[in-house]
Amino acid sequence: MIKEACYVCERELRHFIRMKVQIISSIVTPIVWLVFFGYSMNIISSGLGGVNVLSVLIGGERSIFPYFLTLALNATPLQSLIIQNYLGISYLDFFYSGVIGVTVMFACVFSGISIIWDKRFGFFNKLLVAPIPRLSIMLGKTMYATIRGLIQGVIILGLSFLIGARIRTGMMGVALALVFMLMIGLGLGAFSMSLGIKLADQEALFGIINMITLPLFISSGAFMPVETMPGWLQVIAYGNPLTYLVDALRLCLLGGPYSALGFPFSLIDVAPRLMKNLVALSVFTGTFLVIGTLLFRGSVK
Amino acid sequence: MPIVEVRNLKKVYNGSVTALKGISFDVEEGEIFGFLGPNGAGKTTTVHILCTLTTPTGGSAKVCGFDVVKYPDEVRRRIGFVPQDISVDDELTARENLELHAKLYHMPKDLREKKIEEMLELVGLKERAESLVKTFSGGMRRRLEIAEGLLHNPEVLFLDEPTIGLDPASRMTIWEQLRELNKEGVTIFITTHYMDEADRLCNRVAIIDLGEIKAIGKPNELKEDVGGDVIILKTNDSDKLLERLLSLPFIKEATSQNGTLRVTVGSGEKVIPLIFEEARSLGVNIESVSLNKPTLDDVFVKYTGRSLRDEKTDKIERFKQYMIMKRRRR
Repeated sequence: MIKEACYVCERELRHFIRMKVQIISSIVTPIVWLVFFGYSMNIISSGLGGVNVLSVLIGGERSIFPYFLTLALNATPLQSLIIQNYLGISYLDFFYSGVIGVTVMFACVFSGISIIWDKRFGFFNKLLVAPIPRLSIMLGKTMYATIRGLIQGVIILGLSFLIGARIRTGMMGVALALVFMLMIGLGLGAFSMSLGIKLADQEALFGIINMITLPLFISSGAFMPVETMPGWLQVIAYGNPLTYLVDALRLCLLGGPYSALGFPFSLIDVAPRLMKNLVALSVFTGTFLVIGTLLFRGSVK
Repeated sequence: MPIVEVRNLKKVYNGSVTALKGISFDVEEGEIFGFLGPNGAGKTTTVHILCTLTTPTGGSAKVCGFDVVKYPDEVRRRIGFVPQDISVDDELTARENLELHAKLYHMPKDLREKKIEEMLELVGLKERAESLVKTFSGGMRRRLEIAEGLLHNPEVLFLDEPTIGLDPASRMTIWEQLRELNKEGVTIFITTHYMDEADRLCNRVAIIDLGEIKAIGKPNELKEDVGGDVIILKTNDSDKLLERLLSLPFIKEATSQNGTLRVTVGSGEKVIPLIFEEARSLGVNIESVSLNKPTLDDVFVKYTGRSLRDEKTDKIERFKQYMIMKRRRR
C-alpha cells in the first residue's frame, strides 16, 4: 500500500519538477506578499511605535515603546497584551509565518486538480486497472500534496530569512514548524483529493477552492492578530484550520512570549499553546483523511 | 476452458440508460477476438467491465477463470488494458511511463529493465525512449500504450478501439504488432468500428449493436452467411453461358442483364477458374471479370438493418451516448 503510494507520488513529483511556470509563480506570489505587505505594514507599526523607519526596514526592531504605550493609553489587560505581543516585533516578523502558512495551504489545496486531469486523460483508469490497493492512489497523491507544500513552505521560510525576517528559535523551531506544515499538508491534501474525486471538471474545483481559500486566508490571522478581529470573524477564525497552523508556525519560529519586555525567546514558554494547536490540527487532518478515504472508497470500486 | 467467459451481462447506467442488454460470449485462449459495432453499441462498457473498471448490473463475467466482481485483483494481475483515449502520461518520457507501469505491476528491478528494453524494441520506440511523450505523434503514443499494456506479460490484452484516429500506415503497423503478439500466445480482445480491422485482424468477431450481440463467428463464415461472393462477367454470349452455369451445383444464383452476368457463389476465388473452363468449352469469350466479396458491413446490415458506415443515430441514441460518455469521464 505504502510502496504503491510512493510510485504514484513519484510520478506527481516528476510532473512537479517539469512545471517550471507553476514553480516560479508559486514562489513569486508569496514573495510579493512578503515584500509589499511585510514592509509597508512595518512602516505603519513603526509609526505607532515611534521606531526609526529605516531600522524597521532592515529587519524590524524590538522596542520598549509599546510597553509605555499601553500604560499611556490606560489599556485594559487584554489590549495591553495584544500591543505588547505584536508591536514588540516587526510586522515582517509577524507576517512571514502567515505567508508560509498560506503558501502551504495553496500548494496543497489545489492538488486535487491532478485527479481531475487524470480522469479526463484516462490515466486514472490505468491506475485503477493496475493491481494496486485503490487507496494507495489517494494516499500517493496526498503525499505529493504534502511534499509540495513542505517544499514551498521551506522556500518561503528561507526567503523570508534572507529579506530580514527573524527566526528566533533556531533549528529546533524550524523542525517543529515543518511538523505543523506536514500536518496541514496531509489534511488539506486529502480534502482537495476528495473534492477532485467527486467533481467532474477542474473549473468546479477552482471555483470551490477560490471560494473557500479567501475567507480561510483572511480569517487565519496571517495578516492581523486574531485577537484584534471583530467577534464574528474570530468565530470563523477559530473554526479555520489555517488559524492554528499560522499561530503554531509563529510560535515555533518566534518563540514566546513575543512581548517587548519578555523573556528570551524560547519554545518552552509556548509549549502549551503549541500543544493546543497540534490537537486542533490533528482533529482537522484526521477528519479530512477519513472523509477523503470514505469518498474515495465510495467513488472507486 | 475459455479465457473470457461472459454470461447474460447487463449494464444500466444511472438506473435508466441501458448500455448492455444481457450479452453472452466466450473468448478462447490464443485467439484474436473482435467486438465490432458502431459508437454507443456497448463495446467500451463491455471492456470496462472485463477490465474491472465498471461493475455489471447483472449477469457474470470471468477473465482467466476469475470473476471480475469477486476477484478484481486476480483479474487485474492477468490482463493488459489499452484504453480508447490515449492515456500515457504526456509529462513523462516513454521510459518513465513504462517504468511507472512496471512498478505498479510489482515487477522486480532486473526483469523490469529487461522487459522495458524488449517492449521499446517491439513497438519501435527505442530511439525516442528518453523523449517526453508530449512530443510524440498519435501513432507513437498508441504504440507506447500497447507496450504498456504488454509490459507485465498479461494473458489477455484488451484494446478499446486501438487504431481510432490513426493514419493507414500507423494502423498497419499496429495490426502487424498485434499479430506478432498473438503468435507468441497472447489472447487479444479488441473493439473496433472499422470493418476492415475486424475482418483482417480477428479470428472471430462478435457484432454488437444497441447493447446486444447480433452475430458471432469467423469473419469468413459471417460473410458467407450474407449470401456469398458475387462474380460479374462480361462476355460475348451471356445467355449461353448463363444456361450452363445455372446447371452447376456450386452456383447459388445467376442472372443476366444487358449482357452482364451476375453470379453468386460461396467462394469466388475457387469458382472463377471453373467458370472460365465452362466458357472455353462452350466457345464463349470472357471480356472482363470482377469479384465482389461481401464485407462485414453487409453482415452488419443484414442483422441490424443499418449500415456501419453511416453513423447517423437518432436522438435517443445520441443522448444515450452522451450519458455514457459523461459517466465514463467521472
